[in-house]
Amino acid sequence: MSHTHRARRHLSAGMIHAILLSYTLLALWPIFLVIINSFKSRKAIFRDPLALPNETSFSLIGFEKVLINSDFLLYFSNSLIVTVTALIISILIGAMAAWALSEYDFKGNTLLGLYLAIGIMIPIRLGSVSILNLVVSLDLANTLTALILVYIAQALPLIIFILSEFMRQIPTDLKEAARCDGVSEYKIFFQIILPLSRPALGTVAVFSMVPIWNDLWFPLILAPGEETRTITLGVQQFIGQYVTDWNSVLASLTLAILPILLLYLIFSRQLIRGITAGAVK
Amino acid sequence: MTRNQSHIWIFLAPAVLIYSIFMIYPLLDSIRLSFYDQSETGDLSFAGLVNYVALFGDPNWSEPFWNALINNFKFFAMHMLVQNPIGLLLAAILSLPKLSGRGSYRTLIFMPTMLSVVIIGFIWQLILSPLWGVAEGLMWNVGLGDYYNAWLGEEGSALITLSLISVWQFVGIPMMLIYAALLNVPEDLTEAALIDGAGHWSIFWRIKFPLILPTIAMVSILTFVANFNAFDLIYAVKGTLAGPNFSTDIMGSFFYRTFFGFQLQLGSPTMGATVATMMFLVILIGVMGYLLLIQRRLTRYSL
Amino acid sequence: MASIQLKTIKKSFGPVDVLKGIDIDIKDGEFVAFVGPSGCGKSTLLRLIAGLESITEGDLLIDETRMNDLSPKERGIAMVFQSYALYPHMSVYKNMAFGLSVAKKDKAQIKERVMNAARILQLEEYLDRYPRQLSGGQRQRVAIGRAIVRNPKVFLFDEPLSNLDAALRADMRVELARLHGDLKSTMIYVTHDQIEAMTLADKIVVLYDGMLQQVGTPLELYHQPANLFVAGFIGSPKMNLIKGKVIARDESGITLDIPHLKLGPVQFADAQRLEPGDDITLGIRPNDFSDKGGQAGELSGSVLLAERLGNETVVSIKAGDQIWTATIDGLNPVRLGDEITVTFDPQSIHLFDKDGKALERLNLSSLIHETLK
Repeated sequence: MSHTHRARRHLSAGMIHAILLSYTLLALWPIFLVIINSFKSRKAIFRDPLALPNETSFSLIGFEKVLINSDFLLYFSNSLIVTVTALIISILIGAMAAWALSEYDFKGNTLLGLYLAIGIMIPIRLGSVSILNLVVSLDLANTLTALILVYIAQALPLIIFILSEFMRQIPTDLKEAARCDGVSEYKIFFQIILPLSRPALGTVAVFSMVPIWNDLWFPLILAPGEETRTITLGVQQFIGQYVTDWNSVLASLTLAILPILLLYLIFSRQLIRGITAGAVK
Repeated sequence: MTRNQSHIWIFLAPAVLIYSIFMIYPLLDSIRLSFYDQSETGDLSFAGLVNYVALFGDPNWSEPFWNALINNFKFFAMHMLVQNPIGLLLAAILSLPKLSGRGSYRTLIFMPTMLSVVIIGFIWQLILSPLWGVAEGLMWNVGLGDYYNAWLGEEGSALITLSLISVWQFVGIPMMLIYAALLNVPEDLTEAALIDGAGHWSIFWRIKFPLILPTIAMVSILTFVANFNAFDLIYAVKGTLAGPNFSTDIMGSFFYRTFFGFQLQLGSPTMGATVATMMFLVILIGVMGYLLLIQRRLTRYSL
Repeated sequence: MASIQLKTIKKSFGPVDVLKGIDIDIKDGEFVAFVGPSGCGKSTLLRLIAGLESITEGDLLIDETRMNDLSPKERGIAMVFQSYALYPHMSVYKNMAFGLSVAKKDKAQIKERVMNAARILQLEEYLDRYPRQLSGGQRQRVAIGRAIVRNPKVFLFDEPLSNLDAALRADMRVELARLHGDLKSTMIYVTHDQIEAMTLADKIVVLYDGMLQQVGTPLELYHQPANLFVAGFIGSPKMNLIKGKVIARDESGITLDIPHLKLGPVQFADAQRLEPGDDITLGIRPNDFSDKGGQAGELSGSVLLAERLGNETVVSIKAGDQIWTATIDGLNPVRLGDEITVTFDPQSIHLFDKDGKALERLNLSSLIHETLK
C-alpha cells in the first residue's frame, strides 16, 4: 500500500519534470541554434546546422562582416542612450507624480489618476500620425530626443500606477513624523519616500526597459536615419540588406541577443520577484 | 485649507506635461485628423466622414481593412487558444508544492519574452526556411518529414505560423501572471482541501482556478490589446506587404502601409489616422467590455 | 473513535531538527492540547499527524495502523486551521459539503450531514452566505462544521481561537468543550494560550525546542511541573524561580540557603538525590504568598511595583538583588517603596536540581491526588 503510494508520487514527479524540460528545450533551442551557428563557417551552417562549432567549422567571418558592413556599435550606443535616459527621467517624474497622487488630497485627484492610467491600456502607437507631425514641427525628426520623449510618455502610465500603489502602503507615521520635525515636502519625497520605494523602482525599471529596448515601431517612423538607428532597427535593416549572407545574419542576431540574455540572467530574479509580488494586478 | 499647495503641482507637472503632449494629445489629434483630408500640397481641410466612407465603402480600402481586421481576430484567437492555455498549464505545474528547479524553469521559459520581436521573427524565419532546412531535417528525424512545408510562404498557413511564433515568444507572460496569482492562493486553503480529501486535480479546478479567474480575465484583455497593436513581427518577417498576398496583414501593418504608402500608393496621414482611430475603437470596445462586463462580475475574493 | 501513538517522531527541515524524538500516547476520545512557545514545534507535530508534512523518522499510529505514508484523506482526520481556511468562493453550505462531494457521496447524504453539523453549530440560517459575509466567530464555526461533516476519527485544531477577540474566545472555548462532550472524538488542539489548554484538555503536552517537556493533566502540570521550563511556562503570573544552595539534609528535610528567605527544612519524596553544596532552583508560585501572616515561610523586602487588579494585587518585591512576585489581598494599601513581609507554606515550594529537573513534592493535598487519578 505505502509502496504504491510512493511509486505513484515518483512517477508523477518524473512526468512533471519531463513536461517542464521539454518546454524549456522548446523555448531555448531556437536561440541556442542561432548562437552556435553564428560561430560557424558558411559551409558548416548548411551541412550540419545542429552541430556545435568545432576546430574545422569554427569561424568568426559573420561577426567580421557585421562589424565592417554596419555600425553595430553606434546602434548599440544609441539604444543604450535612449533606454537609459528615458528610464531615468520617466522613473523620476513618474515617482513624483505617483507620490502626489498617493499622498495629497487635492481636487481632481481620482480623475487625474484615471487620466494617467489611460495609457496602460491604450497603446501610444495609435497616435503615431500626430506624434510624427509633432516631432517634425519641433524639429526633432531623426533625433534620439524624439525617441526619448515618446518612450517617457509610453512608460509613465504603468510606472505611476505601480508606484502609487506601492507608496500608499508606506506607513503614514513615517511621513507624519518627518512633518512634525518640519521637513519640507520635497525633502520628504527625495530623502524618505524615494529610498523606501527602491524595490518597486527596480521592478518598474525592468518592466519599462524591455519594451523600449526592443521597440521597432518608433525608431522606424521617428528616427530611421543611419545616425540614430537603434539596435532593433539596425538589425532589421541590416538583415533586410544582407538577407542571403547567412554568416552576417546569424552574427547580427547573436550580437543583438547576447547583451539582453546577459542582462536578463543578472536581473531575472528581480524581474520575477516584481511580477510575482503582485506588482501587476 | 489655506496651506501652500504649490509642491503638489510641482510633483505632478513634468509627468502630466510629457504624458499629455506625447500620448494624449497625439491620440486625440489622430482622431481629429481622421475627419480631415490632405491635399497634395499638404494643406488640411475638414472633410467630415469622407475617410470613413472610403474605408468602408471603397473596395480598395474596405477589402484590405476587413482582411486585416479578420486576420487580427484570427491572430488573437490563436493566442487565446494556444498561448493562454499553455501558460496556464505551465503555471499550474510550476506552482505545485515541493517542485525542485522551479526557479530555473521559470527563468528559462520566460527568456524568449525578453528578446525583441524582430529578432525572434528572424530566428524562426531562418529555422523554418527551406533553404537552411533545420525544421525539415528535424521533422525527418522524427518521421514527420512528409508533413514539412514552407509554412511561412504559404498563403494558407503563414498567418497561423506567425501566430504560433508570437505564442512561442510570449507564453511566458500568461505563465508568470497566472503563476503569481496561484502563489497568492493561501497555502491553508490547499491544505484544507487536501484534508478534505481532494486530489491535486480537483484542488486545481475547484479551489485554485475559481480564485484566479480575475487574473485569467486580465491576461485575456492584455493579450487582446497587445494583439491588436502588433506590428513588429509581421514587418520583420513579411515586410510592408504582409505577404503572401496580404494573408498575414493585421491592423498594425495595415496602419503602417496606409500611413507611409507602399509600392505605387502614396502614404496618407489622414487615412492613417482613420485606420488608427478604428484600431482605437476596437481596443476601446475590448477594454470597456472587460471593465464593465467581465471585471465587475468576477468577484475578487479577499484572500 | 481512535487512539493515536507517536513513536520517537523526528522531523528535520534540511539541517534543522524541528522535532527531536517525540513519544506520545493518546487514548480514544481524549482531548489533548499541545502547548509551548512559538517555534517549539507544536504546529509541525500537528501537521505531521495530519499528513501535511512527511515524518523524517519514527512511527505514527492511528488505531494501531501505521500512517506515515498515507495521504491526509486516508488517515481519517479533519483539521481546523488558525486562519479557518474557508474557501472564499463557496457558500457556507458548499464549504462544508466540499469534502463529501470530492468523496463522491450522494447528494441526500451530503445534505443530511451538512444540515446536522449546521444544527449542532447553529449555522442553519447562514448556509447560503459567503465567508466574507460572516463574523469571525461564525467563520470559526463553519471551519469546525467542515471538520464535523467528515465524521473523522480524529479532530486536529491548529490554534483555532487565536484570531478571535477575548470575549468570543471565552464563548468558543465553552462551545468546544461542549462539542467534545457531544462527539466524544479524539481531539488534538495546538495552542500557545495556557488558559485554553488548562480549561479544555484532558491531557496537556508541553513542547519546547523540539522536545517533549512533560505530558500530564492540567493540575499535574500546575502542581508538579517536571522541570524549570514547564514551571515557568504554566501558571500566571509566572512562578518565582530563584537560585540557591543546599546547606544540609537530614530526617527533618532539606535546608536551603536562599538569600532573604526565611524557610525551615523542606521535605521531598526524592530528597536523597540532593547533597549539601548542590546548586538548586527554588520555585514559589506568586499566589502561594499571603499578606495575612501565620505561615512558616517568610519573605521581606521593599515594594518595587504594585499592580492592582481589584480581586488581588500583584506586587514585585525587591529583596537584596532578587525580585520576587507575590499576589496579595486586593485591598492591601501597600505603596511603592514600602517594606513588606509576605508569608508562605514551606510545603508549597517547588525544587529543581542543577539540571532543572523537579523534585517530587510530598503532601499534595488529597484532593489534587484524587483529581490526578
